Amino acid sequence: MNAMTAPCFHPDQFMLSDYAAGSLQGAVALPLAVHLEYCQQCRRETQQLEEVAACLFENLDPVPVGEDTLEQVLRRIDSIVADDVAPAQGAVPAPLHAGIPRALRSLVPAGLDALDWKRIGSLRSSRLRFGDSEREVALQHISAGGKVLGHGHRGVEITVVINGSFSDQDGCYRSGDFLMRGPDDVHRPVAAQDGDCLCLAVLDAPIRLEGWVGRFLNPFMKIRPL
Amino acid sequence: MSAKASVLPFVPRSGLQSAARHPSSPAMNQAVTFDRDTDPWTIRLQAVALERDRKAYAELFRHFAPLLKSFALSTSGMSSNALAEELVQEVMLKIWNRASTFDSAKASATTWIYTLARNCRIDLLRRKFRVHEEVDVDELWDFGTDPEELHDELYQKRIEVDIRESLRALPSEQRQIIAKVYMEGKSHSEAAEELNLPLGTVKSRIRLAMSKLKVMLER
Repeated sequence: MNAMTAPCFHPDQFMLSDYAAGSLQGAVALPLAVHLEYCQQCRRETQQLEEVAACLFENLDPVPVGEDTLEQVLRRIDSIVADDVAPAQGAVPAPLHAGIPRALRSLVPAGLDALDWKRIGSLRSSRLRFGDSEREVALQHISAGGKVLGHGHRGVEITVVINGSFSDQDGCYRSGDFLMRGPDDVHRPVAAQDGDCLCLAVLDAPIRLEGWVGRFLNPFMKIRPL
Repeated sequence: MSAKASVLPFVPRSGLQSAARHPSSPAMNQAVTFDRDTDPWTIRLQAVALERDRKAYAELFRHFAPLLKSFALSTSGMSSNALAEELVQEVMLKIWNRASTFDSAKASATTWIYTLARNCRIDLLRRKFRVHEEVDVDELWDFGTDPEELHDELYQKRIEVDIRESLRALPSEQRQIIAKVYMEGKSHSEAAEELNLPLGTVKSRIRLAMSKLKVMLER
């Protein structure tokens, strides 16, 4: 998945090293995997971090395995008919999945149109069934020029742009850009005038709306992981 | 690739202390002391891929299975012998089944096997804690490589050498922390708690270690 331009906003080095170490929690790995599909620079760094990990792995103190472990493995090898081959790399996606990052495809098996979209102003949102009980994973779609209600966060919101672009007071975010917003960040995203914007968002706590709407709605805001 | 040698070069377990000292081809930079083309594990893995060579496979097993077991046992929340043996078997099986997808231009055998072990560990932990996540581990933890990136193979190899050498030169306190985070799958705050250090210290040691490892490219 090659974006026209390389992403400008990246995960920090701790997230990349946790990813390479396989210790990223739950759904947090998802936006990171999506970002990597767009970002050559982060792919390279991750590869190098994997090499660091491999060096450490190689230097662990070996622990003897069971006496018959090799024999058992060989017996299993004899009994299988090549059923566990790696997922095909670079396979052509079904038309339904055109433009959808590889890491997301299994979450939208029937394509974007088949999802259950909820509309809130110019934002349409659809929760995805990732299976992380502590985080809500959702696709968010803002129509061209659409403004999203100003909001802050009670926890961490990770967003990665899939298509189109949006901006807030801090910058303009395009395909592949990776953003992490903490409790103190308040922003009011606006989609670009010339096209819709599709993002993946992972939230571990509900957002906090600004202004009078927020006063009414905030007590009822919840994240609803699927 | 040096053709199927009848006697594969013996290399002691620890690649770090003994980055293979095979003579490099003249075109290679002098600093390159580790080379996938002469890396004995890469050669054996290729023999498994191309010839389904069981002798080479058994040698891979004898080298990697005890490391895999150690890797499993060091994982927090996974210290049972049965689970560790399961990881060993699963990864060794994947090595056999997926050997044909191994590409020595992308990674050394050890790095490739490490990524199999890491993914398998995530899978086993998901199962142990009955977490049912919809996305396959190999989908989330396999970002592929663009064909254009392979042109940088030589550059990649040099980086690999740099990483090995600078890891060896790292002060023990920094090495200890990255080992915790990497091998034991601990979060930074768990590592901080265990080492009885403030979180900020842990983070700055990791940052320092990483910059010494020359891992991070310019931002």
